[in-house]
Amino acid sequence: MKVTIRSLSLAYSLDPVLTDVDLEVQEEEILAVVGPNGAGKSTLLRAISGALQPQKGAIYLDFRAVWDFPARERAQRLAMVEQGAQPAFDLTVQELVELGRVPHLGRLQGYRPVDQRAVAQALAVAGLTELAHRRWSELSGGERQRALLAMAFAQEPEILLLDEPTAHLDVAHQIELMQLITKFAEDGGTVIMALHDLNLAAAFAHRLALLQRGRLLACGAPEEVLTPALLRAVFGVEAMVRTHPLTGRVHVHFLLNPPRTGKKRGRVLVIGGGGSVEDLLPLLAAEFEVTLGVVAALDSDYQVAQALGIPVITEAPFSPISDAAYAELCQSIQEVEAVVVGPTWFGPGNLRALEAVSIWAQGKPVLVVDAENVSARDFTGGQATTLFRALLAQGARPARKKDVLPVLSSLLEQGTKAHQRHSQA
Amino acid sequence: MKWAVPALLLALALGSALLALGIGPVSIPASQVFSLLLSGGATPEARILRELRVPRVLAGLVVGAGLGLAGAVMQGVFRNPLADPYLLGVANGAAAGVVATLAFGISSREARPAAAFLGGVLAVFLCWRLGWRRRELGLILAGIALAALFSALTGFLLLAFAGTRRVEEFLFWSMGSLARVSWPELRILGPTVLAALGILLPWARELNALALGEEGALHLGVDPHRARRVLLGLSTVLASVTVAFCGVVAFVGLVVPHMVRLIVGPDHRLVLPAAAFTGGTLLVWADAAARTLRAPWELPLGTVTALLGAPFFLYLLWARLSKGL
Repeated sequence: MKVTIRSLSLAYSLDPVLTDVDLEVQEEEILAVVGPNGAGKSTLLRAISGALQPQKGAIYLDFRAVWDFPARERAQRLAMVEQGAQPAFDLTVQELVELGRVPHLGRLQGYRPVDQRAVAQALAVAGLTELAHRRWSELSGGERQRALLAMAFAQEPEILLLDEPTAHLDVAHQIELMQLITKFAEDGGTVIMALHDLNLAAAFAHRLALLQRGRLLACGAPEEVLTPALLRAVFGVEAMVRTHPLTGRVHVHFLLNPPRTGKKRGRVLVIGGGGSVEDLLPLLAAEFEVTLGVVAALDSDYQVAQALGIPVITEAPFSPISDAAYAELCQSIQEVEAVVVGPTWFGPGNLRALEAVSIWAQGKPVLVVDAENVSARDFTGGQATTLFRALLAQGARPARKKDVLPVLSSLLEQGTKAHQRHSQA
Repeated sequence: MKWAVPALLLALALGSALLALGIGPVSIPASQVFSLLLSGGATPEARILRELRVPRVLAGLVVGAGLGLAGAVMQGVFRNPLADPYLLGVANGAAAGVVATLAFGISSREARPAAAFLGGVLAVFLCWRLGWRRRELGLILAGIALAALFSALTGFLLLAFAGTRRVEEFLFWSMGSLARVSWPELRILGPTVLAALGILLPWARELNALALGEEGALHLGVDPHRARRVLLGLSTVLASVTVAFCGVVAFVGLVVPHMVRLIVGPDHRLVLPAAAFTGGTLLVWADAAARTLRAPWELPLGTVTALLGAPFFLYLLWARLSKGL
């Protein structure tokens, strides 16, 4: 069944919770509703389920308004898994799942064979057949969530609404639950779920609806909704969005030390490539104006730099550093206050980057990350190792990755003090 | 197969009733009970049986069934194991009604039960009007407040207008007794309880759905407001009509649903009939004890049920707490 929401507005007493929401969800589709706490995700689900009456707008299941359904008929088509639902009595799993047949039964009707089949199948799908006679009080959080989902499945609905179905579940159970939901959609069901976990939403939902303070800010494919700009605007966090190499789905990385928009402490050139500095870049970008030196477009370091808004000196993939890129690099080395040589791999293609550093960075602070094992990363027949020795002889500081930030900070501070002493004299 | 347990409980209730017929200040051997009943003789034993024992035992069955049912409904509607038939102030409202008749010297046979019934229904009606949005907690709190109010009214009327003898009379009423139930009363009690049982059974489905809360029930296609109205209405009629004729019988409505759920599980399609039959059995025996333990005096029924019920309830609490629930 298709769910259509038309300019829906809903308020509790006078506080607007949803304002002018328009949405359409098709059969075989999974829509994840995301947004910060209090954005109106649960309220939207409860409105679709018919539990809340909106002040304005309408919700249609296929072409009939939700409120035109008698409660029982609606429950035969639509099931909702509430967040933190809890039966009042210590029911067994079987008894709980049997409740899902309530909308299909007449007043005095006992369970018919068709009901027993539906219950058995729901139990089997949720992997609860063996736990059927366990009591609610004896279930773990994950088993409880699965039991509630099985109850919804026993309703044999065409539309499934889920409010934070993965709350309190460990990773394995989250994935398992999402696979059950995916299967439901593949069999023709319509799924709308509220989710906190953006990456889970991106991995399993076909479309995302982003709510902020009751308004629909964006709706579309995960890569259209999960952009750094929207995430910053809605959640107030800095994030890096990349395509996951295995799943092809977008994946959000939250930056714990987001780049400061305020004054930076100096300009730093980072020599990287091959993903060797992808973890270092966000750290450095938080404190300094960073430039990334000669990496191929599509290199994973390049993608991180792009996501962070760091300028990059680029070269075509699998090509040696061209004269133009070399000139740009040398220019950059002269402009910056310090250079960081990342633990990257050196081959004939990028050896010129090291040459540039050894020639043009003289007298500037140079940090060499993991200098001691350079020979393992040297694919130039020893030339890179020789250049490293020369750099260290010129006064470059070796450092471990985790020490880069403090060492660099202290080096630059000394430099500034020396400069001040010099100018005072 | 599932229905075997309620059927067994029904058999137990009927068997208890037959046995209890022989018990009392004048004991009649069980072997003679049948022949005396069938012969229709005019011996003192036969008359005691026909005119005193049979209505009284039937009253035990019916009142116990009514309280058991009402208790099961209240615990289901309020999703709370501590709910009982008097939760919304039925007992206090009825007490106020009874005291009013005593205070104003109205002493016809019909006046007292009528006043008690009306008082009980009035208390729940006020509760329903005042309970905030008719959510569970709002209703419970309104019930507590109204109970206090009605107690205050009762105390005031009792001290201001009723003499010592009346106070004693009220005290005995407030502790419950089946002594005043005879055939005319049974003609009202019996059909009311049977009808309530008949109407409630088809609503077991709604009670089951309400176990998931208001919205949970709605998602299963049950209109929670309508269900609550019907269920609380029936439970109020049951509680009020039993209080009207037998006074306040403590603990039966609270304990019986718990006992029953231990046996048949939480499915209300089984809990409701089982609670009716178990309540009946329990009250038949409690009344037999009340009229024999200190014969020729009668113990108040409410004290016997409390004596039996309170320890059992404490045991349940203890078992639940030790399970960490």
